Amino acid sequence: MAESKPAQKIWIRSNDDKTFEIDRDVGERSVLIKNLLEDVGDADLSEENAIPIQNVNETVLRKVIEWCEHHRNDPPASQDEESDARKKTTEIEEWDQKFMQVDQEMLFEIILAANYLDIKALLDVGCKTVANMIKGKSPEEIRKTFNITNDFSPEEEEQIRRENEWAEDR
Amino acid sequence: MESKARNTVLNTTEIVEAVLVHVDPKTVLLARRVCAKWNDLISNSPSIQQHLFFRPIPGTTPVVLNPMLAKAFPPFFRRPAPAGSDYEVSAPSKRFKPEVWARQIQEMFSFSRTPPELGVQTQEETYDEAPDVHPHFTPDDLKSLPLAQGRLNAAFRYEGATWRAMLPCQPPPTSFICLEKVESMGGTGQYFRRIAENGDVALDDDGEVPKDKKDLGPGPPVRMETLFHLVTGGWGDKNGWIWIWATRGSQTPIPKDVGFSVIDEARREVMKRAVQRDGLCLIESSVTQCTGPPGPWAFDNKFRVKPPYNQSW
Repeated sequence: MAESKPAQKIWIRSNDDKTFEIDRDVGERSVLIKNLLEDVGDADLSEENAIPIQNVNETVLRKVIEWCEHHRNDPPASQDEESDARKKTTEIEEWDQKFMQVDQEMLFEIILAANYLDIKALLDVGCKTVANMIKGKSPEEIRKTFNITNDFSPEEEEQIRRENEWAEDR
Repeated sequence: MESKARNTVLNTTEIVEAVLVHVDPKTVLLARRVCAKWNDLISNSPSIQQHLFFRPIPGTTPVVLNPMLAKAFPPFFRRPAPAGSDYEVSAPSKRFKPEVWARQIQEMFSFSRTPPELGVQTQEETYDEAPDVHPHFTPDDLKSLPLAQGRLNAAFRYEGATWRAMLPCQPPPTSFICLEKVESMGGTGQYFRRIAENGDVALDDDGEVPKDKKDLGPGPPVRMETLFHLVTGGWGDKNGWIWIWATRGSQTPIPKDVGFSVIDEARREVMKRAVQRDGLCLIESSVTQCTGPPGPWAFDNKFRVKPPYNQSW
């Protein structure tokens, strides 16, 4: 039996100073981390020199690492995927659905972290989760869900409502 | 509850855009009313405008019908004929059943589903018998639609209503052929026309632009208002229509007998080629009154809408 080489470790540090030791291939799910690692020699990787992740706190980073570990062996996204995205279903795989069962604030924290760390697949799951919260909702319900203030004058709002009234539920 | 992360996300245009392309088009269209920022984004983002069938998606296949229009105008968006069948139509009992279609359309386009693509239909038949039949629809079918009733009728007729500017499918046709059967005192004839947003032109029996006429070429993408006006506008009395949709490049059979008319082999060949090229054709039956000058066709005031940009027909 061939002896498998132990995974190379890297260290990343949250903005509240918590250092995580993770496998390199887990960290490389993040394009930001992957690019940073390319500029760093292996000898310079150490716990003391942990890569600072400036925009992400410990709780959120732990969650993001959990996702990256589960998806460490996913095939890389192809170039075509983006153009086809619209035609695809908005289905989310079961593990990701459970993963995203968090409060709204955490959901948005994960989305921001995925955006900052450049983890496209995680950002995508986050966006689809928010999309599922919007589907079928009226404008009033959407405002309520996300605490958005209606900043239209009554006349402006009425104008827009009228243009799309033909599509409203009867 | 104030939420910092939420506010940041909702203020990041790229993320809101990435969210909304995963939401069903109807909810997104109505969500213009959420706030000024969303209205601006939904009205101007190219990817959302494509998602809402306002902006064309380039490409040839497969064709995706506009689910919002298919729900509001079911007779215009019948499913295509089964591939490979040379079928015949006629018996009134096999006529298009709007209520059956409306119900199935509703199921077909429920939120969780993406719009069906032509050519990969797995839905059950949308009419209740004779699956190889391509039935026409009539003024009575239109009169029974929800858009012809009450408050919805006013909303639908409103000049600024957004359905007018919507593309019927993605990718949209830029022109298409229409076979019109005309009955008059002088007899009955069948004529080809090429319809486009930049005007229509009478064709010869081979489906070609006659030498003495100017070939307008393809126009801008065809919008729903133009399709609607073809059916409800113009001159003479009209009594039946069939829209045939297809994925461009695919073989779509043209019915021999469409109920109001029998189409000869040569014309069917012309239409087959046209549908293969354009992805759409219309078969229409109309009657020209001979007592006095023809009046504008409008079988019911409920369907009078502002005519589209080109009124050449």
